[in-house]
Amino acid sequence: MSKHSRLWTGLASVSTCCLVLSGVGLNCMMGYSGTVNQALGITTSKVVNEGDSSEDTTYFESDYGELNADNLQKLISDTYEEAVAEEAEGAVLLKNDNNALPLADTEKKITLLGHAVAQPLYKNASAGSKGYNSAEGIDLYTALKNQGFEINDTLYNAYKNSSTERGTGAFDFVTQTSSVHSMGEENISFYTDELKSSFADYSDVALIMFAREGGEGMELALEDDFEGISQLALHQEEKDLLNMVKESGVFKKVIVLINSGNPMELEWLDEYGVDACVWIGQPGQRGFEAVAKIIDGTVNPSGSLTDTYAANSLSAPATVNGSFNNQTWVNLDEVLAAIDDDDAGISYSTVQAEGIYVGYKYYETRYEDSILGQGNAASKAGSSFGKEWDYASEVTYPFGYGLSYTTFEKKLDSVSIDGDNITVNVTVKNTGDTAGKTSVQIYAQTPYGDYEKKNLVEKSAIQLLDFGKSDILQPGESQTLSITCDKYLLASYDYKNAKGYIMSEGDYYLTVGDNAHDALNNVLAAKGASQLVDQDGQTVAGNKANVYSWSEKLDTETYKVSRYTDETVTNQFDEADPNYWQDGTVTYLSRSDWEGTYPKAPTQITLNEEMIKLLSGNFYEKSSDALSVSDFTQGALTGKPLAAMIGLDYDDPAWDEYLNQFTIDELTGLLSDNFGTAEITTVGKPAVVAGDGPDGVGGTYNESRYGTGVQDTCFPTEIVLASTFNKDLMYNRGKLMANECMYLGMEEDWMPGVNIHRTPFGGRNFEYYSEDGTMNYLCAIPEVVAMEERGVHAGAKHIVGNDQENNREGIAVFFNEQGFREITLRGAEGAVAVAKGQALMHGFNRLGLVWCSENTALCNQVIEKEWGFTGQQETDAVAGAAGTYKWHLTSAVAAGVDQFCLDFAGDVGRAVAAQIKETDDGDLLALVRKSAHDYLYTVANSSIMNGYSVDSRIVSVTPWWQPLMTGLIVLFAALDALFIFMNLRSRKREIVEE
Amino acid sequence: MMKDFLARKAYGFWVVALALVAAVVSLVRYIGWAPAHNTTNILVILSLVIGIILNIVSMVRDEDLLLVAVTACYAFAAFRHLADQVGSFVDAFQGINMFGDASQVGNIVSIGICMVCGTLLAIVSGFLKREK
Repeated sequence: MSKHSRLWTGLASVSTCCLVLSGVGLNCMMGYSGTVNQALGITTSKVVNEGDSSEDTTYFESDYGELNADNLQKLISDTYEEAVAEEAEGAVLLKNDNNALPLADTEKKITLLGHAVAQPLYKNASAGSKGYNSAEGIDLYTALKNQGFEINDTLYNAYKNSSTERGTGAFDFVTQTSSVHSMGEENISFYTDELKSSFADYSDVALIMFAREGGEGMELALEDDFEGISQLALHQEEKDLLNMVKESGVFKKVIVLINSGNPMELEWLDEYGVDACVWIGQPGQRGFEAVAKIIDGTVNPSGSLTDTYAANSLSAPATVNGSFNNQTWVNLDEVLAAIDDDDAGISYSTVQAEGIYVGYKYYETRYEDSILGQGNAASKAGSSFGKEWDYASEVTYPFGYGLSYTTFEKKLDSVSIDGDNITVNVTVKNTGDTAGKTSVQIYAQTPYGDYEKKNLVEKSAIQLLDFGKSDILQPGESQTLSITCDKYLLASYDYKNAKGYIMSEGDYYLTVGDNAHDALNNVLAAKGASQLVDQDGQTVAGNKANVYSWSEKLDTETYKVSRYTDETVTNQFDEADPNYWQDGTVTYLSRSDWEGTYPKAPTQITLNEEMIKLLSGNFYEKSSDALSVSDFTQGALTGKPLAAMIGLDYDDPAWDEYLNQFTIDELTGLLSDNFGTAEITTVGKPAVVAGDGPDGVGGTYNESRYGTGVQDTCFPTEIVLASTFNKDLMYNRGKLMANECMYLGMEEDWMPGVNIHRTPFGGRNFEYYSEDGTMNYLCAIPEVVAMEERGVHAGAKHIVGNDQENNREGIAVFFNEQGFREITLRGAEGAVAVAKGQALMHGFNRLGLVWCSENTALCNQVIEKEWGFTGQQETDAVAGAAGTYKWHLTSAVAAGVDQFCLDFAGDVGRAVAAQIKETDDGDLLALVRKSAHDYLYTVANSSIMNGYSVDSRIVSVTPWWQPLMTGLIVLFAALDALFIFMNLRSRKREIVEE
Repeated sequence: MMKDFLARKAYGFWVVALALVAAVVSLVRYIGWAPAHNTTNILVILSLVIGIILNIVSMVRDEDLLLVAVTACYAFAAFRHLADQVGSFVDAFQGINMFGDASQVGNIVSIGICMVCGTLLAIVSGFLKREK
């Protein structure tokens, strides 16, 4: 074997390796082509207009006019302005002793403390914009500097250079573990004498920032790995830091920023001498500008909490069964043996034994009952401190709480009721000496009488009814807000007797309050109660002058019929109640007896044969009299493009004709979503791109077209937006995101997040509005309306019950229908039924035993029939789902699913097509036609059709990377052949020479 | 006989042998890991098995083109395995758990490294003298 021969062998091996790499790489990239194209900003189809060029094909106009570079700059500028405004109005001033904030002009020298100042939490790990990681992102340090503060760089740089890192959930190759529970705070030994000596020159303020981080698939820990305590509690390293600051005696003021979407336990603020505390949530890429402006007083904070801040984060009854207290089936082995699906998706359950008593609805109701001495409210059950339950001990800050640099007086002027409209007039007066705005929170109490007690209709002692926000009021200035509330939101769902919504008989109270607790005290005052206290335990009187009261008769009929359609609204989820299967399995929390009904331990469930059958899913079976495939016309091209369907009713017969043009493979191909769908030129269907993110749609502008390649804006997280209590900002967020989608060529964005903060530990609480279903309902409406008005579909997610990240895939969520309809489902109702969002995404979870996407009661009965939804129903992600509960494809399509999220390689479409053809199942084909119809209806009526007319031709555009990869394959194949040839020739020569 | 056989072998032969060891380790690790995480790709197993067989044959009968074929098999196994796990890499980089299993990235990479080692050793052996 000669040297030459070896050389050619080696080179042939190299080129073979490169050839294989190119081939597999191309195959992989084709499988993820949608994602690759989106990342590279490539659209795979373009329009060629051949008809009347004067025809107006702008069906939805951008608010910025023509899509061009100049207008995009205006849009980007407006998104930054909006982001700052949201944070400015969403940040919540929790404590401000002796007017420590805002800082005076002379207080400019600041020492930033806490590792989070060097590692700010802009948002938790999730989908959407990552703009905060770009040059356009602004951190706390930069924002403060820009605002004129002088910062202790010695300590700041030490933080920046420290190896300490808060856990993000990213995989750690060294430890082979997830870093999700890493607190990321410095050990006290980090603060050397040299570092401490730097404090003296920056001693006006110690500005401490603490963060708590969860994320998608990452629940915060009920008991963490470090100290075995709640991840939301103050940890030793944080205590040491606070002690160091306090004991140094150097700083004139101590201010704490809470950088978290989950409510930290904050009872310690006084103990460590903290002068002021601001909850800033997760500010996104520009929000820290507003934080700096709040600190120096340029902005007067006006945010209000959308969660209750409990002294003990484990004290919510929902934590008994929720989060990491999920259970496996008692007979798990039997269940696993009986079902073929992957174990993880069929093993876990959680029971919402708390019913409607989530967040403030628990704490405030128990408060009223303890004040009125009823329902054993003062018992030790659920008490955090081993003594009688006491509101002021349990709650640090109530729902709706938030201070200002000024004071306001709010006067309930009048209330008028006309049908379902309750018009509330409130006059707000700035009684302080600083200009500012404030939220106007309208609350109500509905009767809890004999009927309710007998039929287990639970009632929150106080419930948010609606809200508004004042303008900026100068000192002494007044403004009257007229807020029209919806009486429907006062109805209760009676799942036992009426099996529908009822208006209870008795006295109703409506009030305006600074927060939920303040409002309840007003109501209690009106009811003549005494010994009222605020959250600090201070005696208060309540303001009965701010209460309006009226009476209602028992009404079981008015809301029995859907207000959106004529469908009867009645029990649909009896099987999701464990007591349906075996009476007494769960005792739901009831205010009739707090002691006797407070959940003591997680509910454990044994599945019987029928339950296992439900859990195993896969309900679809071809019926004996099913239609044949030949009963349908497919592939009959008429030349009618999708543009011809623009504006047609969903039921227009033209849709049938249009769908007849598709082949079966083309129809089933539409079931596979890959952040959009590919073009189908034969039927004039363009390529469609989808965004994904409540706080930023997630895309990069096409630099060659618009002159900038920046990412779309990462707004403050959804919880911050909700905390503004400002519907104008919510509408504006939707409007701006819709315009961003237009520039990014996106037909829809998966937003808003409409799940609730069932426990304080939800890993995605940051991108859901609040702990209150009504708050979610009210916040979702303006955002979705603004999106839909601009032809960009707002796909609310995750419908529904996906209120936790732990075991979210396949977890069986059990509940009673009152809790489900009034709390869990309410946000989705706002986004879909009221705001008419034309897309929605299901949850990974099950309702009872049945996966949301296979659940006919949810997908068909509630969403389509009760809510009148017409549009795209999509599963949550099914990437890699073969062999799991999410691969019940035909069953999901039969329930109402139109698309399967992130089926990168199109496996869903192929599998369903094969089943249709192999079994000659015309019924299944009809279901797939409906799915395609639903989806294409939303596409046809979206801004993505701008520029298309019936004379337009859709032309495929091959992404540049495809010929590049193909070229590499050809090149390496040629080299391979050449080297092998040279090898053979060399060996032949050797033989001849020998 | 074996002594004579080995005496005829040059250092390149031992590189071929090392490639075989890497491939066997890869196969064992893959079979031990993939089924437990529902990610078995029969093509990966087949390509490793075929590569190992060809590798053994090439050690008995030194043949340039066999080494090229071994390289192709090992390379396919390595790249197919890594491509199959794109979802887990996406999760790891995004800091989420959705498309794959971020907690398995360590195993995925270490198995991939074994496979890539086999591939590189097969390539290198092609350049080397394998018989005296």
